Amino acid sequence: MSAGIAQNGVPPVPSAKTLAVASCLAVTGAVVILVTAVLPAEYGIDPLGTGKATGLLTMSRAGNVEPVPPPQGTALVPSDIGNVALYPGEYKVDSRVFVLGPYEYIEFKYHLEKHAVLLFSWSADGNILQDFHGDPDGAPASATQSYDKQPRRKSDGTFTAPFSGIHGWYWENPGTNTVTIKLTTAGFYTAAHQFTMRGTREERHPRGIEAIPVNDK
Amino acid sequence: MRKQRLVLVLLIVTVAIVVTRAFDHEHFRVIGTITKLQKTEFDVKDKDGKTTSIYIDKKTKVSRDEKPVAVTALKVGQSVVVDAYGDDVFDLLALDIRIVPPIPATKTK
Repeated sequence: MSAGIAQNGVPPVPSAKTLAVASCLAVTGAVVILVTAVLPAEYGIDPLGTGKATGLLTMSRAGNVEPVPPPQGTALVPSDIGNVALYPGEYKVDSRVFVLGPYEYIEFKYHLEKHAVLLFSWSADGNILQDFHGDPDGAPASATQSYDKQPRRKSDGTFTAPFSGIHGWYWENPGTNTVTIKLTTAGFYTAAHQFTMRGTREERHPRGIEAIPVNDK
Repeated sequence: MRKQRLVLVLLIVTVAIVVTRAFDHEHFRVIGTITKLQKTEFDVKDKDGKTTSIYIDKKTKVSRDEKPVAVTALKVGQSVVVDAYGDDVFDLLALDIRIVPPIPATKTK
């Protein structure tokens, strides 16, 4: 049994003077913490300079700074800030499967503004002729620019559009076996176009980023 | 003087539109078997059973195994890959005709 406890188990009642002193110390401590830490950190008020000295003042500034608005406009044209390119809209995602019978071909292209970026992966389960190329907006067919015509069965990469226009692939099945091509892309494109052997140009609709499932693992 | 200029501008615009329209053709590819053959026209039946009539002219190139051959090498029953152009599928002129091995009907990998 401790010395401060009375014989009947009831602790001794502190005197009024002791209570007053303890209360004053508590209030003083609270005021010191308020003035030296809470006010500078939360409200940017730093009467003693302790917020500046301890770095707490920057916490209040971070909360009060107006956020920079994103680039404005409807065209997905990138604005460069050093190594970062910002766009006035979200990127799109797309995935396609093309089945080419003997000697058949198809063209699939995305519309990109100048300097906009596309990420792509495609693979074919057989031999195929391919031409990754682009057509400038409003230009004649002779203005087509080829980027890659190497024989490939698979290609993964990134592409930065050298001009505003449609950019994509021509795939041709050179043999008598059916070939399946799987294409997946993401990028700052606004539309997709499919050109067929029957002379048709059909618009396809890429999906927004909300189509990407949330990974909760 | 102003009237002459106006006529000249209208003439240039008209010629530009006519020239543009003349070359404003789509490219088509027709794959199938020759079912009918004439001097300036032939029919190709594709895998879906659709028959397309295609014109031939002096500039039409014909090849087999990547080597040029005469137009007379074309025969009914041959499998061909025809690259053509025209306003639509009912008005096609053959640019290039490739004679290829028989195309299997449902061959897959």
